[in-house]
Amino acid sequence: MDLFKMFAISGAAMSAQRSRMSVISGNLANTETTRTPEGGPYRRRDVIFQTTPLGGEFPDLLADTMLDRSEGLLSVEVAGIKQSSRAPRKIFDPNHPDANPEGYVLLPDINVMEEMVDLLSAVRSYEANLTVYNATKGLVRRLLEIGNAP
Amino acid sequence: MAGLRLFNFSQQLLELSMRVRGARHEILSANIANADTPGYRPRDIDFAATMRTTVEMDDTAAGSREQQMERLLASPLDLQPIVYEPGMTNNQHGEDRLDGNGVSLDQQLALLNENALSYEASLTLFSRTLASLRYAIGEGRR
Repeated sequence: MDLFKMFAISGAAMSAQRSRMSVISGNLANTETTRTPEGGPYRRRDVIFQTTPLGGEFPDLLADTMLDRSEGLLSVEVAGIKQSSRAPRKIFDPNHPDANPEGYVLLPDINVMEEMVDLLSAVRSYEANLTVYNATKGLVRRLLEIGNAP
Repeated sequence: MAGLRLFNFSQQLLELSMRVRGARHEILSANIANADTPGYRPRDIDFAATMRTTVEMDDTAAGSREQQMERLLASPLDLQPIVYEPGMTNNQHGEDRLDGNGVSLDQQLALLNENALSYEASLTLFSRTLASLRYAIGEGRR
């Protein structure tokens, strides 16, 4: 058992869920945005998670010689942030400054309900990893107390 | 006095069980970390089976079971987790989702807590054996 590896896994997962939460808040903030640097309405963004082997320099050297081996210990990282390819919503509003010659405004196709559910799911995952982190901390604390006079 | 050693067989067993439980804690934490990663398959260590195969002593090997155990504990253990693929029997890791991820958050948390409690149980027992050892060292004085 490599104690600090376990903290690293839970930490990486919490950080990944936090990025997911920021992307969702970005989506929610931009539900009505019609102007972006790349032109056109804002496009919904989505994070992509991928597994990644745990890396570390000294702990790995140590692990080869001293620690119990268990292959397949995978951490998580954000592989990228993808723009959704959903077509924008079209609203007829000729008075809008960004309306096209036909009088339609292109608005981002963001479903607020969907984003909120995604946000809740991210928060739950974050909390689960926090629980794991605290459980690990409890174990390590007990482990350090071994041999202390009662 | 030949064969006198500080740690007896049950203490060695407790050490082994803590090492296996610790490795399992790592694996289950990694499962929870990857609960939203598409295509991730849950992993787990079968504690009972690992203990059984590790503790199975070779009667023909040299030395008492304490000496055999000592040799075993001196080197790193090779603990390979089982990867639960879809449709595997004896899968207590919940339903598969559409993105190919098979991690059920509740189930993993339950397994993790159960494992952590068992780890603490081994730890407590080990501390108790140390306390009685200390009692003997102090010739019965507190």
